[in-house]
Amino acid sequence: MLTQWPTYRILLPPALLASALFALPTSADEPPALILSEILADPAAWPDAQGEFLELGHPGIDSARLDGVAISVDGQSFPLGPLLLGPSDCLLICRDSAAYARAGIACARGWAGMSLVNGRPLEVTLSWAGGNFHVTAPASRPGTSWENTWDATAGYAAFGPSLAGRTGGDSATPGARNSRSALAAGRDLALAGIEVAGSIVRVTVENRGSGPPPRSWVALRLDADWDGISEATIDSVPLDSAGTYPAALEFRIPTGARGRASASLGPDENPGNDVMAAAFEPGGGPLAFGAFQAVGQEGAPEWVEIRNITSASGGTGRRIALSLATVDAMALGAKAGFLDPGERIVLASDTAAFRARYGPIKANVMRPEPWRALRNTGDTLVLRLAGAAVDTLSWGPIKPGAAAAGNEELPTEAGWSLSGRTAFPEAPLDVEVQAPAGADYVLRAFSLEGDIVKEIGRGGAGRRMHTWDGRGAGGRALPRGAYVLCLTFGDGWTRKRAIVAGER
Amino acid sequence: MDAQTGHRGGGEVNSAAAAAGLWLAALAQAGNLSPTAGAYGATLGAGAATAAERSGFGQNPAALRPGAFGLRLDCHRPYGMDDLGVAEAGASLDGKRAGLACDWRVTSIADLYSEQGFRLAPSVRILARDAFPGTLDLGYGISAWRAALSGTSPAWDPSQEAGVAWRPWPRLKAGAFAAGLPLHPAATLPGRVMQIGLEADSRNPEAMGNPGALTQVLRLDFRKSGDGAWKALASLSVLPHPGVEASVGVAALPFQISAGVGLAWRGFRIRQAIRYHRYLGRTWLSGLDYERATGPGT
Repeated sequence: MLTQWPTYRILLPPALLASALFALPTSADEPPALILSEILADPAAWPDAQGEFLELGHPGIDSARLDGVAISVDGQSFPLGPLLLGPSDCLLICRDSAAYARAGIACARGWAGMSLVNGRPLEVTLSWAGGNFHVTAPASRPGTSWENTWDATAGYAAFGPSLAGRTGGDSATPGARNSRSALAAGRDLALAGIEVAGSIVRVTVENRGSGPPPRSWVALRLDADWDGISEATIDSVPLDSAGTYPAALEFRIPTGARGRASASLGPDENPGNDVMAAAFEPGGGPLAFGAFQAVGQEGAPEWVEIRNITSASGGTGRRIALSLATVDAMALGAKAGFLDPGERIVLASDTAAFRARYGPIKANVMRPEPWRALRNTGDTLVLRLAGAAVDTLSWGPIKPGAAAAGNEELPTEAGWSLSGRTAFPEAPLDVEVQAPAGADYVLRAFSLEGDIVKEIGRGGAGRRMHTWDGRGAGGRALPRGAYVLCLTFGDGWTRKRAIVAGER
Repeated sequence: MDAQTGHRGGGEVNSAAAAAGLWLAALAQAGNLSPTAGAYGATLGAGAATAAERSGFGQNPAALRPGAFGLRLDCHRPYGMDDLGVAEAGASLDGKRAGLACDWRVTSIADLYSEQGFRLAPSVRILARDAFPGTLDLGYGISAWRAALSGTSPAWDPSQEAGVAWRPWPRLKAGAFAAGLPLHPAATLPGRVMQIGLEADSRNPEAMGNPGALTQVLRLDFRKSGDGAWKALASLSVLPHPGVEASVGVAALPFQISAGVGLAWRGFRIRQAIRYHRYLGRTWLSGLDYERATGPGT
């Protein structure tokens, strides 16, 4: 089953990249004696006055004594005096060191006057006798700290988001460096593959050991670059048994874009294991696989759905001639006709059996010649248009009775399914939406007063998974109480469900 | 060494920090503070800032009906959802210069969740003049919320509220209040509600005189719930006869409209209202009030 968790996106506009470029040290061989290692400007679990912090790090390989150290954030200055730093040491500066002391975290300095502005990049300058370091820290995100990647080639000016949603609060790791952190040696977990289909980046995490996974979850970072835009997500993949774990994350990659996606795996916020990359061609489209059925029950056919996604990912919709499309050795042929934006076609092993089982649907159903059997033990289909691969569909062994990826039913009606009736930060609610062709939808959460507390997601035709963790639009957990989840389609058709959300 | 330094670590989340964060966050407030009592069902909550109703959740506690005793009962199913229900009851007793209201509300999701609120709200009139500076009422309320999720132990959350209502001239009234405030100073405030508003009356609603004259009341409020944006609420109520009250309301954003009617007879008033929410659809609201005089008013 594909599992999608909350994602945190970073859009690095060219201006920010340029500012990061100017922060490069004068000599790549000599790292600065002091860098900004981590910053939390907008804590979610704690008030700003208690939770904000800066973490400084020493990237050198030798101990260093620095005199006259001072830090400046957006014009606010704070003297730190002399510092003695060992290799890779980190130094924590808290706005309220007493609050951190109660939590068992030692702050090297309490800077009571520090006030980190939320929502915009912050200019941070460190100075000491004989040197200085300047960096632009990314704009804050509620409950998410920014970790320096300690990447010397980027001038120690590249940051990644911390992994939120695991701890029920701010998932920062103050006082500890965890850049490009790796799983322990001898681990059995590894990335087994990465592919890009449309705006979806799919990866597979594999437990290569014979027993259960060595940990209950693993962090997954995905990066995508296209047309000068860099986007990254940090996510977690739950692990519960041996085998492979497919994960899919969606980026807002416009149709027609050309770029590269990469993935890395690790134990925490900045994974450093198994970096894998895949290039993607324009849009990965204009066709994509949809639902499919590989386990043929008694009298039921095998089938796979193909959709025209040219208008679904931000591009311009266009009509596609299916005579140019093939799925592995199956040619659709001239009889397949054309597929307009948002429309779909179902390729079935037995069209009569398909219609008998699923009834009339708003899609063409055809049997390509020859039909290529879909294997229950795991299989990969490649969709080509004019000879170029535009999408790949893979699945692992499908257990009878399990809700496996290959056991999806054809979405004949618009609808949704919820994983539960509660949404809490530590136990989010998963909502799977299925929308028919040509139907855009918006999924929102409302308070009982009728106010929109969170727009959870929106999309077009097909199946999508959304997650809500009971937080409002501002990122803070809502008060515990009754809320209304509402799925609205463009034609006004609506589904509602009362749930409990907020703090548990 | 002049400074404390941490060592390179594996990056595991500090459990003590997480626990402390949860402890602070657990002080967040709970409670359904949607104003639906009495006429609010037909005004979408417009008038809650100026205490159009004597008592109710999510309204200004600075409410007073000098020399009156009141009871009320309200219920509705938000947005017509079968498994969701809200019921509310309240009582009030006012002297010439001070009064007390107590309310109870239950919000439930069938087989999943039940939330009960108990509210006690004293109010005082510190100015009582016919002309400027008019009448000035202050109110304070304290609520206790009991929330029970199926399969878990109930949790209690206290909250408080405070408000002021000022009628500088007989036909104009202004008010403001904040509700859902935590009792602990370090608590976060995601459930806080603030509302300010004005009320303009075609005749003095508290004056003696021709009780049969047509009365029109225009209300304009601005309300903010939690981290949400300010919402505008407006309503017009018309009383062609003391026993008949008709109201319409509009709110944005999201867009909502409402209409309702109340019929009174010998101190009893029965109310029926309907709301329409752009996304969530219709809500029917019903209510029953009883009010009788216990002494002279102002």
